[in-house]
Amino acid sequence: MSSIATADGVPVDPDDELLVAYLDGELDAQAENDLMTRLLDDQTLNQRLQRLQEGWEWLDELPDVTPDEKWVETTLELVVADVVKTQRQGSSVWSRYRWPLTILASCVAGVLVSLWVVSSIKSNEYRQQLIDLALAESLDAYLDGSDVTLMRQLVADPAWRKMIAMSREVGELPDVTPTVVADATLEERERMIASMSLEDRARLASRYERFARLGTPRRESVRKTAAAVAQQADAQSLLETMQAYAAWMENLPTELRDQIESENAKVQREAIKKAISVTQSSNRKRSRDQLDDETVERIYFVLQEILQQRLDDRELATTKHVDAVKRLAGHRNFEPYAIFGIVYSGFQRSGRGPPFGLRSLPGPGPGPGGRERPPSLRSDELEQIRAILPDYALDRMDVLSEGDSMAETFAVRSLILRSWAEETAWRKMPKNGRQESTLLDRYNELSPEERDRIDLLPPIDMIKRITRSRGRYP
Amino acid sequence: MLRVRDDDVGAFEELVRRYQARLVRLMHTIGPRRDLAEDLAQETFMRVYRARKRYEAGAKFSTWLFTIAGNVARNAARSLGRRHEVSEVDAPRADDAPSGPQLLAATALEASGMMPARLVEGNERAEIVRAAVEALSERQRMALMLSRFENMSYAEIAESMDLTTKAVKSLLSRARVNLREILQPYIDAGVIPPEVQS
Repeated sequence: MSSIATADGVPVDPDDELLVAYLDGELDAQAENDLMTRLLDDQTLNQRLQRLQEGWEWLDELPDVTPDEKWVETTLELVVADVVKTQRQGSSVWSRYRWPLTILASCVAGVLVSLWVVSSIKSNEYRQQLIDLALAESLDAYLDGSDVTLMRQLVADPAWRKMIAMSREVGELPDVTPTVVADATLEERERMIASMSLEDRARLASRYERFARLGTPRRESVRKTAAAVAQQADAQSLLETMQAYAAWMENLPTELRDQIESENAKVQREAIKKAISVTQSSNRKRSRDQLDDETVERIYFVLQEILQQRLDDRELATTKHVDAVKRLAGHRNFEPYAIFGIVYSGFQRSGRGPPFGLRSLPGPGPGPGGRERPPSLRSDELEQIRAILPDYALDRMDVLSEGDSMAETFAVRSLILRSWAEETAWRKMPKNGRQESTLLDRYNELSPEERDRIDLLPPIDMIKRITRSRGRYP
Repeated sequence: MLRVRDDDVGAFEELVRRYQARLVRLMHTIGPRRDLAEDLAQETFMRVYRARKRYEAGAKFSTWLFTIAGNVARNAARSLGRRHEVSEVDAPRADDAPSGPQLLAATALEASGMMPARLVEGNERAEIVRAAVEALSERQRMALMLSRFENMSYAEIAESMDLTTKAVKSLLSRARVNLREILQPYIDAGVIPPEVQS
């Protein structure tokens, strides 16, 4: 058991503390001087100092440690090993799951990126679709009417404007269809499309699909055209012109279309003039086909009056014609045939011919066999017909016959009235064969060459052709 | 040390070379067992390297180093103490390298009949001093070593040991007085002091 209290808490003699501080050089100058004075006077204190110092000096007996190069190397190796171990420990979890975590993170990142990209692409695609839908709505206009200069020339051409108006009147061209999608903002378009009728939506979808099927260069061309048109002050009317032009071109023969699209201005001008004439002629025919029963009855009533008037006036050619018809058709049913003979008396000039069975009837003037034909409808007789037309038919007549001059208007009106009279006479013919004979009968009546041509047509066109071919267009 | 902080391995090697002897000597004194001194010194260097990024420019490296060394020694003592408690239950510990007062006591007892002149020769005298130092408390030993061999001021010792300067002053006073009192019988008459016999 130790007899010396070595514990830290045991109090130390203040003099010992002072002496130790002195030995350690921790006393300030004053304290050191005071101690030196005491040491000179106090022998006991001096001895205590010496003993403290002596014990301190015995510490030199502790062995020195010799530097050991190998120990240094070992220490460094241990430190390096420790660093490596620490790094491994620090990353042990990461190391263990590094690859799975990396793969998982890559997959998650990949999925997120893919989702973002797909979402972005879809968003952009959807936005582009909304933009393109507006173009698809007027696709034909942008495709065919991209020549803005030509469009402006056509708008300035009264003949073209009248032709377009007439075509719309007879339904040859569709009325101006206001754009729905294009007029709405991008944000409104989705709602706008949703509110469209099923038919309109289907039509729009069909146009869009057609637009989508275009090659990239053509799609870009359409976009550029649309952008150019949108920048025009009269963008809306210009677009309507383009729409009308595109619809008009669709009904024209290919050759004429090519000429209209020619870069040769003269060729283009002539082609447009010719195309307008062709369209007008077609419009007149169409107006004839569209005559309603009321108009037909009124016209036929006038034609009966005209026949009676001619007979009352003992007009020689008409009288002979009626007598011949009576011999062929009988006294009871001669009137339709007689009227038909009068109305169609000019068929050789117009290229029309009488229906089957009537080719032996006398025509106007010296006809085959030297027989006289009844004179065709005179101007005053045509005016009689016009006077009795219903108001709506008169309105249509005015639209169809509008010309640059009175003479032109009169001439066109005469042509229309004559064609309407022909149509009336045709419809009033008994046993004209159209209703009684079947399509197959009519098909079999055609020449082999004609049948070959018809065989290649779509069914609807085939029916139309067979129907038309029945006597009206020999 | 600033270079070490910046991962300069060469600088660290230089530090190890400069401080290895001093650190091993310190561990001989303050460590729980002398045979562990070198291991504890290496442990201290490893901790220095691990903690290099926390070293603050301006701090005295030796102060920082001996702070870590003190912690390492204390931890080792605690760890050994726990292990000793466990092993004592089953079997007596192999005492290949007895340390501290026990060793000195054994040596002194064997030499109790010898003349001081013989005892003071060679390693035996060193063993007496070492046993006397080891008879001091751990903190006194630490303060003593830092003051005597590292020439550190009270303030520096206080910083290393996380004490006040006044506390260091008291510690060193007790250490000197205790050391004097332990060694005095031996110095004066060659008598093995009872403190180092027990």
